[in-house]
Amino acid sequence: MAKPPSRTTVDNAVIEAHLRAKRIDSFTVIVRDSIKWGGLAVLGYWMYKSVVVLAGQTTYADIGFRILGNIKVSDGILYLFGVSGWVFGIGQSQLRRKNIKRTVPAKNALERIIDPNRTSSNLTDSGTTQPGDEI
Amino acid sequence: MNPYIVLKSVVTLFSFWYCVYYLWRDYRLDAFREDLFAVRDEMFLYAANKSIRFDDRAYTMLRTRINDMLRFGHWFTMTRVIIVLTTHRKIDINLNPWEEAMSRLPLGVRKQMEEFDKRVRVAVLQYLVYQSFFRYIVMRPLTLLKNPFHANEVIEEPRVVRMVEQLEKDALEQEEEERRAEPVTA
Repeated sequence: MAKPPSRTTVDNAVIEAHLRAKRIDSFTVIVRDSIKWGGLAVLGYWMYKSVVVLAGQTTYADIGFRILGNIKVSDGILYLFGVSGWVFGIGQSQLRRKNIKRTVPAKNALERIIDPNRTSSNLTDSGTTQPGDEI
Repeated sequence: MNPYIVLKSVVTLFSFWYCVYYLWRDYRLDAFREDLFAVRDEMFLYAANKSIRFDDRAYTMLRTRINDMLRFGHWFTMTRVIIVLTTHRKIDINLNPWEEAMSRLPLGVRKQMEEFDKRVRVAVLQYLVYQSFFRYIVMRPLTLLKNPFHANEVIEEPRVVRMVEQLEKDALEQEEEERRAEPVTA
């Protein structure tokens, strides 16, 4: 009969697989972050180039007025729609966090009366990731 | 090219970049946590109605899993799942403790606990797919079709999700131990 693999062999295989996964993961994180920050760098470069072209010709106020002045009414409505979407989304999110902070502690306290050994998710009071767990 | 048009485009693209990399991800994480909190709360009420004991092994195991996912959900990514599934193909994850705990429950309770467990798996799968804004744009319309990617089969297969959860948990516990072992500096 074939001998079953020993505990140490299994543990080594697991550690080996963990290490392999970690190595590949580190590489993909680098690639992902390169795309993310590379995109931002390209945007920054374009911004810089357009400002360089305008340098000496106009003041910042002129640039602002020209940009606003060039916007067509139809484009303006679209910008307004986009910006209001942002404001609405961020506002709703903050409101939800405040609501969690206000209502959840009472619910948890009541649950603890029924189940004294109640376990927690260890998120912050407003339901966000603990600062130490972020990375 | 007109520099004013470039400036306008850059500002708009920056807004989009911020949305895709920060706001969208935060929103999906919140939605994922919301799904898990809903399951956890329902499970609590189920136990509070004396359908299952709070210290039952199946209850505590599922609750602990939900808590871990709530805490470390931001670590789950599609890329990590694919990496783990490919690098850990030959490693056998021991599902016996969960199955043993479930087998001790009466049939009705077991069915309900399986339902909670399934909802957790659906939430994980949904989070993994919708986490990327571009994936969401592509995949969301397809969900209108019936069972587009045999998702039900994936959800019914506990190994896929649980393996990832287990490995994430192992890694995190190990890191936490290492963090605790580090000397405290002033």
